Amino acid sequence: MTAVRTALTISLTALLLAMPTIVAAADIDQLLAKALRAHNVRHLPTKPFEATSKYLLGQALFFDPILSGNRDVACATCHLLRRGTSDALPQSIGVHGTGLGERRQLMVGQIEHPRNSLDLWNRDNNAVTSLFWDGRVEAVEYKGRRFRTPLGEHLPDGLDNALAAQALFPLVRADEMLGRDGERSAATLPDGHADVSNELASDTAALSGEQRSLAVYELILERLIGRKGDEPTLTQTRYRDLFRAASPDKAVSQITIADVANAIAHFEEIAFATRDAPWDRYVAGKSDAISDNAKRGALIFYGKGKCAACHGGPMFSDFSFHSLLVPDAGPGVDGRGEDLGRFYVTGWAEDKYKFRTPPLRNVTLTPPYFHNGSVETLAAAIRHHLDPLALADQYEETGAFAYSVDQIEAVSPILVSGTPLTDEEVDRLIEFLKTLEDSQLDAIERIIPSSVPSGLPVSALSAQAG
Amino acid sequence: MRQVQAISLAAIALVLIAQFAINEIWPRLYLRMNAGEFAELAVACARARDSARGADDLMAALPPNQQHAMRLTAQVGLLDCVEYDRRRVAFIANGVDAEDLRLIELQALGDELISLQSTVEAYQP
Repeated sequence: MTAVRTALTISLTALLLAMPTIVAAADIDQLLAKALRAHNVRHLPTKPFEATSKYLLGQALFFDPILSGNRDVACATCHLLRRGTSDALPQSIGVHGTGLGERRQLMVGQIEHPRNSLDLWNRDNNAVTSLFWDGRVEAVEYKGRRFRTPLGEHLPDGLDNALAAQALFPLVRADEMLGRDGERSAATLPDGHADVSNELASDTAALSGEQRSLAVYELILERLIGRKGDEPTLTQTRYRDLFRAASPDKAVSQITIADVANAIAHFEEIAFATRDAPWDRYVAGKSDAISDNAKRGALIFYGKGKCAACHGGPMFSDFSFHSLLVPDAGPGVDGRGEDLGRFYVTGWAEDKYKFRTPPLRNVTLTPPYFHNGSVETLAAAIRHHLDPLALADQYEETGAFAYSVDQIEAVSPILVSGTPLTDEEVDRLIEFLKTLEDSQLDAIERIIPSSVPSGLPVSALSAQAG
Repeated sequence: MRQVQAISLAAIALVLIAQFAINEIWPRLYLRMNAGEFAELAVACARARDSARGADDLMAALPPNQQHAMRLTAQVGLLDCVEYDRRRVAFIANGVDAEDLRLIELQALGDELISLQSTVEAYQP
C-alpha cells in the first residue's frame, strides 16, 4: 500500500512539474489606471443641489419666455432637459418656431439659426475657458473686462463668471430670442402679453452693435421689474420679490442686467451639474462601475484613438479650436451654407473653419452632432473623426468640389493622418462615452417649474416631460 | 515485489504519456485555441506603434499644450503592446514554438489597418 502511495506521489509531482504555466491576461483596470494617471484624470467633484433664492430667481428667468422679444422663447426652449440640455435639432430654432425638441419647426420665411444648440453641463467648471461654438465668450481679460465677449469694453460690470457673460448674448440675437422690429406677440398668449409690440426689437432698431445690445438689456429689465416710480405689474412685482430675496442688500433700482445673467448662470450651475456619472464612480475607485467594454473604450479614448489629445480634462474638451472638415448643413452664418467659425471672433485667417472642441459629458444624449448638426449619430460623428479627409474629394451636384483648398488645409493635423479603428473599437468608444451619462438625470426633473412669474406658458414642460 | 515493480512501471508509463501530452499535444491545442486572439493582439500592437510613430511625425505641427496630450495618447496606445507581449510569453511558457508565433505575426501584418512601414520594418537595412 505504501508502495502504491509512493508511486502515485512521484507521478503527480512529475506531472505538476511538467504542467504548462498559465499566464493571466493583463488586468484592464491596471492598464487603465496607468493611462488615467498619465492623463491626470480625476473624478468630477459633486456639487450639492441647493435651491437658494438666487437659484429660484435663475430658474424663473431660465424658463420664462418674457425675456424674448415676442414672449415666446425661453432659454429652456433650446435647452431641454430630456434632450440632454440640447434640443435634438440640427440647427436651433429660436424665435418664429412652433413645437419643441425634434418637432420644433421654423415658420416659413423666417431667419434660420446656423448652429446646433450646445448642452449646458458643468459649464461653471474652471476648465471651461470658452463658450459658444466659436468661443466668442472667453474667460480671458479683454479691453479692461474679465471676459472677452462681443461687447468688448461695453460688457456690463458685475458678472460673476464667463457663464453669466454667455447668458447675455442669446437675448440680443434676432434669430434666437430678440426677434425683429415691427413684430407683435401672439394673440393667443395670456392677458397682458397677447398681441403686444416687440419693444425690445422695435425701440432699439435705430441702434446697432453694442449700443443696441445695451438698450435691449435696459428694456428687458424694464419688463422684469418696471421703471422707478411706475406702479409694477403682477409680473414685475413677482420678479421684484425674487430679486429682493436673491440680493437682500440691493434696492430694486440697483438691479442690472448682470444680476439677471448671474442668476441664470447660477441656476445652470446647480441644475446642470453632473452628479452621478458611472465614469466618475469608476475613477473614484469603484472598479465595477463600468463594463469591461467601456474600460477598453476608455483605453482607446486615452490611447490610440487620440481622442484625449483634444477631448481631455474633466469636461472632455481642451476648449480650444479645431477644424474637422464637417459636412455643410443648414444656412451657415452667411446664409449660403458657409460658417467660418472661430474666424468671426479673431479675424485671423488661420482660424477659418475652426470650432471649439465640444465637451462630452452626456454626449450620448445630444444628437445630432457638430456645430451645424450635420451628423445624426454618435457612431457617425466618431467615424468622421477617424478620416475627415475622406470627404475632401467629394463633388457637389454642380460638379464643383464640395470643399475648398482652404477648408481642406484647415483640418487639424491630429486628424490628417487618419486614425484606423475597427467597428468593434468604435463600439467600445461609444460604450465608454455612455459612462459619461449622468444617471441621476431622471431625478432632476425637479428643476422644471410648474409656472413662471410672467404667467406665460412654460411651453418647455411638454418636451421636458416627453 | 512484483506488485511494486508493476506499479512503478505503471507510474513511469503514466508520467511518460502525460509528458508526451504536455510537450506535444498541449502546445498545439493551446496554439489552436488562442491563435485568433494572438493575431488580434499582434495587429493591435503594430497599429499602436503606427499611431505612436504618426504622433512623433506631427509633433512639430502642434502647439505645446497639444504636443503633451498627443505624446500621452501615443504612450497609452502602446499599452496594447504590453498585452501582446504578455500573451507571447504565455504561449512560450505553454510550449508553443516561437516559429509558430512568428508565422501568426507575419500573417497578421497583412491586416489592412497596419501601415506599410510597420509591415516592412523588420527588413529595413
